[in-house]
Amino acid sequence: MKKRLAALTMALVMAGTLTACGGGSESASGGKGETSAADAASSEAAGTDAAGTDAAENDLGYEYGEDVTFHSDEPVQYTMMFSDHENYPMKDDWRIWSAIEEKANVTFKLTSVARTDYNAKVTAAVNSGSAPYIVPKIYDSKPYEDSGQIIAVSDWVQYMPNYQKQVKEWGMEEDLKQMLASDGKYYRLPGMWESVAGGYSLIIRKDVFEAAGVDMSKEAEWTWEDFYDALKKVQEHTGKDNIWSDQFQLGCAMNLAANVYGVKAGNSADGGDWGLQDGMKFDFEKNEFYFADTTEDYKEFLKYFNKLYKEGILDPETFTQDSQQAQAKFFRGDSYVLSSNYQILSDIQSQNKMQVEDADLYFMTTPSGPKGNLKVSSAAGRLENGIVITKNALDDLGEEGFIKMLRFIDWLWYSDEGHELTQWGVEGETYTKDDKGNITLNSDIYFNGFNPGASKQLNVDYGFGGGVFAYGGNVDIQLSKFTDAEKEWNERINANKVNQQLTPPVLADEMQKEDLNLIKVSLMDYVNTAALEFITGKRDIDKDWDSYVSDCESKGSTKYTDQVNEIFNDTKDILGM
Amino acid sequence: MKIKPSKGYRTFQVVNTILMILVIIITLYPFVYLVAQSFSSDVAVSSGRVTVFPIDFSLETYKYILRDNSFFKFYGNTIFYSVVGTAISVFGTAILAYPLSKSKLRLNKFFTPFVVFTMYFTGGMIPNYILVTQWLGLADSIWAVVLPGAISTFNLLLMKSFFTGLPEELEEAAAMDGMGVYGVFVKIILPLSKPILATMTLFYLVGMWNEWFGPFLYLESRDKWPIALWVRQLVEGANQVDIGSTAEASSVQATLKSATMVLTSLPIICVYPFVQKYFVQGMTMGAVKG
Repeated sequence: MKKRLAALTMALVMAGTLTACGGGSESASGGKGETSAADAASSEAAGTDAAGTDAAENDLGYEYGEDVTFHSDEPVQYTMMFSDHENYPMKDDWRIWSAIEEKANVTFKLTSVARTDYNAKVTAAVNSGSAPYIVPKIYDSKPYEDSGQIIAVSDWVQYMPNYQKQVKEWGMEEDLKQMLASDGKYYRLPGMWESVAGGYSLIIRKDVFEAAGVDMSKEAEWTWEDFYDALKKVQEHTGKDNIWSDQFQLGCAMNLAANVYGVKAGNSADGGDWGLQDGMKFDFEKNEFYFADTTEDYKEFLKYFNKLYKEGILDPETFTQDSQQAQAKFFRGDSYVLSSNYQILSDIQSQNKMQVEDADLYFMTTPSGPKGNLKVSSAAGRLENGIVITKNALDDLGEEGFIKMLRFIDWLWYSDEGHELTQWGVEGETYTKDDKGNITLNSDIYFNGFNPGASKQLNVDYGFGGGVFAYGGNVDIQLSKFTDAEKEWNERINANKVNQQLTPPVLADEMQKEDLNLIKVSLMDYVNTAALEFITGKRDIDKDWDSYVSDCESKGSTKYTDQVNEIFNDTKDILGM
Repeated sequence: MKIKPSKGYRTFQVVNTILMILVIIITLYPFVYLVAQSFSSDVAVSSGRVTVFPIDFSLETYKYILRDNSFFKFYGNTIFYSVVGTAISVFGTAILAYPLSKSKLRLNKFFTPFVVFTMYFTGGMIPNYILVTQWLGLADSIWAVVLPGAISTFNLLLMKSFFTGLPEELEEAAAMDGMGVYGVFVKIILPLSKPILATMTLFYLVGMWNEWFGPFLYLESRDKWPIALWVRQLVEGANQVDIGSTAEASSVQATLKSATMVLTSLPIICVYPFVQKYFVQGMTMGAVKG
């Protein structure tokens, strides 16, 4: 009896599941139909001039265009996801909302999600087909591409004059290829920087380094070996061990070094994948991918960190402690090196976190290595996180309304006016501008190192300068965000370091992605664990190297590389390589 | 005559006491640490100097939190969800557990496995999301927080076995005197079930108080957030690093995090001592008669 009941229950559940599946595939195929309609529409429109306000287009009910303020005659509201940052929790009465409404006559209906769980919510909302029209703050649209629920924006960008202007003037074509999916389209409107800046590097205690007799004037040309020599001097001078106790379980620093050693490394529990990824590097001479983490370069790379560890420079606790513990050591003056980005440094300085009298913090540029003195910033080059637009927008608004929304997005996220508004606020109210276009934040407002001690904060109290809107832009807007010290740091980088070549993307389709992933997960997990064992001396780099290489082999490193190269060869024409 | 405890027993008592004190210290320390942090200056906390007692005693953090309206809003939401949710859950569990405890009811054999099934298998996040937001139309509503998962299968089974343990004769006698099924349930069964009801209330209350995932998934406006969601954002934010050129690390001060946690866990800790009497009784009764 019991068995029969159980069988009945199972049958019911299965039937339920099947019906659910049926519903899903139906809507998915509906999605495909929409996309092809959009294709037709866009190819039709491609012949006409998309940019600029033609006289014929004046009856659209809104103004738009290159360097024209978007303004809708009728008030409109768009639904949008909002990634809420705990540093500046979202408020409904932020000035940014009313400022956007005043200029564009557009308001948002927001779904506000804590940024810590933002991706989970986006996944649920997008895959269930109930996501808001605009989903910003997306770093990777790949997980949503196969759902049929998001729009291939590359079919629609011709309607976005400011976006087009950025692509053309800054030569972004090659960068945009990074985002292509296997169908040769892209699904995310990325933030774009005119030039690369920022990123992670190392903070050091200049006072200690100089007291140890290190010449800091040549710092921007240092190799990692020079940095080792400097650390050695500091170690001898202070007579202390473990002078480098890093945060992010060394993942960040490993990635910084990996870039200039020509390898891939850095994946930590505290911060995620810094640069290890799938271990693939691209050989631009042979025009093919290779597995970088079994090469001689990689051996050199491991030897370097192993040396630091063996000689007591690198704190063994680095690999287990969390960021707070690492920072505490640095603040107390027990360690002298900390990997960080400029924001963390600004916070340390503006909140007076250093416990040591006269501590002089210096933000190094990332050292160079065997592969040259390269700029090591985010792996995506000049592209930033971006906006994904859901099919709901096209369905609900119709094609005309959809294009109108795109043009609004184009103005807010891609025009110079939009960048200035979302970053600095309203001229005369939160900032002033001189004849040369230099922006000065009002002295009673604090932002990221500007006006320390001011009573109000640009992001907390006004909503400007937040991560959802204020990113990307031309060099002027980029530099306007930097304090003099940060500007100096960027100039030091630009004067000494060269850009890295962009690795071509691997346009794997859904099945291929799955195949690759099956190999990647266990392979890279092994590589990362082995890296830490080699660095900490649990395994001997010379003696155990061959067994490490053959282990990688048996976990599929060659098979993976072959598959990647095969996909690359098949899609060369899409990439134009 | 007084029996002298044997030597072995006395040694056991000593060792046991020492062990228990150690356990108390281990479980208590995180709270002490949190409280100490919340009353210290941020500089002292971030340099790792605070251990047991506050250093540079300051009330600034609490003043800062209590000045912020959204804290009270979140707190109010949590109280509301907890009270409403617990009431619904306890009521729902009781009226489902009662019939299931009557093995002679005809469809019992069908429904019990049906209910138990949900303990081992779930639909998964996205089907649940579709069910709640689209089919039931509960997106951004308080019902999305309190209804899904209102009845926990584990609690249901606990309650069911408690009901099974009540003497059948009582019900029969009441029925003889002309009382209907609902009368028996309300006037006889429920008054006898105070221990298990108290236990259930505590379970559901704590669960609801700490619940963040449901609200996170189904709520859209920030105004409706419970405090647990905010605490999670504060705490998780510090562990999460965005890798990118516009990465914005969390700069929320450690003191703010601990003070928020102290304020949020305080009320629920206060409830415990009052319910404990019933709690032990309810748990063991359910367990023995299972």
